[in-house]
Amino acid sequence: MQSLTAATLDAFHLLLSGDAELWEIIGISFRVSGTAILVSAPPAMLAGFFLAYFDFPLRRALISLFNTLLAFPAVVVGLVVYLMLSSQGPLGDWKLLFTQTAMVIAQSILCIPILVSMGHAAFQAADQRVWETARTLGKAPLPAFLVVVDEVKFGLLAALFAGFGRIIAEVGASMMVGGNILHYTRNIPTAIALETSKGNFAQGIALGMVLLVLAFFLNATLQYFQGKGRLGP
Amino acid sequence: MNADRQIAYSMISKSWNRRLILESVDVTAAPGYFTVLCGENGSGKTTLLKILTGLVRPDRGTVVRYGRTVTWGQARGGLLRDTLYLHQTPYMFSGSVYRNLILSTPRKADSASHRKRVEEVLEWAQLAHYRNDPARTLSGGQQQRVALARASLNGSAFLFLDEPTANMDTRSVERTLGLLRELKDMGTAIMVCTHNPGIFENMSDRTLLLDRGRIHESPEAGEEITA
Repeated sequence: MQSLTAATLDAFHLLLSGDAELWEIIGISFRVSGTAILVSAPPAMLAGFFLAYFDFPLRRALISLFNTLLAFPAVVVGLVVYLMLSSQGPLGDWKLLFTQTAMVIAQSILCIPILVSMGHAAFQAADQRVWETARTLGKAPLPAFLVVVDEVKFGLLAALFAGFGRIIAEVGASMMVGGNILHYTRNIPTAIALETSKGNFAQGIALGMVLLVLAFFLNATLQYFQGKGRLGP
Repeated sequence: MNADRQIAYSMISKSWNRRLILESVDVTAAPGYFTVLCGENGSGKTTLLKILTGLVRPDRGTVVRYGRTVTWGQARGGLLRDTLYLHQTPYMFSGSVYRNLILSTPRKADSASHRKRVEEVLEWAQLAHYRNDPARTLSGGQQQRVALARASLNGSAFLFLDEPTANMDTRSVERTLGLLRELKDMGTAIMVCTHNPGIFENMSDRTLLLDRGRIHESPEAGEEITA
């Protein structure tokens, strides 16, 4: 078994030497999670907007539902998606199980509650007058919505970063529906789990460092933009 | 009054949490006509103005435009396009005064002529000096002028203002009244809701009192309605 110091040094070596397998795993992670965010953000943000600005039956129940889904375990999402996509499941004919598409579906389901809840909070923090002013200035619903989005962009950015941070680091759902197939569905968290079980800590630490750097980058970016927002009212 | 260019609202009713706010209200907005709508706080003035501008849906009511009577729902698109509602404290978009004005054009205009028009409106509203200042740092009176400049730039023929002179010093009130008078002279239909109608008595053509959900004609001139 490697010492922690030796494993960390090996991890740096792997990262800096441009190890093809390692960077392929990182690429798959970003591609899958980035696609999941891109797919889920528009409907989730719209849902957050409607929940914040319009009164309709079951509105409060929906807000409670999305807040509850924040605590939904990733493995349960993985299980549900697995059952849906397995050959015996209702979507089995699509033959998506153990593909990157299946991982995108699972990760989208995981991040939608985060995007809706945080999006709802961001829209609710903005004044109702934003929407009314945009509408009364003659803007159609979509341009008026974009005006509101612009006014709450930092809150929405925080929601996107939180959602991305959650899904790029989750292991349960990706492992179940992706199958952890090398060169295809092996992403950072599933690779860490596998390499650790094999006693190969260097790659696990290297991938862990990538996640840490990513988390730092996302937070620093958010702080930068929020700081700029405060300086200019 | 030219009936073709006016908007006549009829039988507007609205309840909120089973409480009747407005009951069969009839009101008309006509070009160049200044109407003062007064009433106590909580009498439904703001709700009425938002219904008249298409922002809040009434329980029932009809609208007559261009000689055609349609339901409020059918008229809503036209109301949002042709009328403009100004909040008691106007919302300032993030960014400069100039950006607030640029955002106020309903559709894309030729950029050069549009910018020229923005500069003219900045001068008109006495805001040229604050052109690049963040709009949210302006005083209440200045923000009200930004809102009026947006309205002028937007070109809405019907302007509905909610307590436009509330919490303003005398000088700001005078400037706001001056801009409103110019808009009226340019043919804009203006309806102002206030609990202090005396401020507008020199320019108003008609004063309406909203009391217990119903509209009543002119209270005594200069009478202040207290909350």
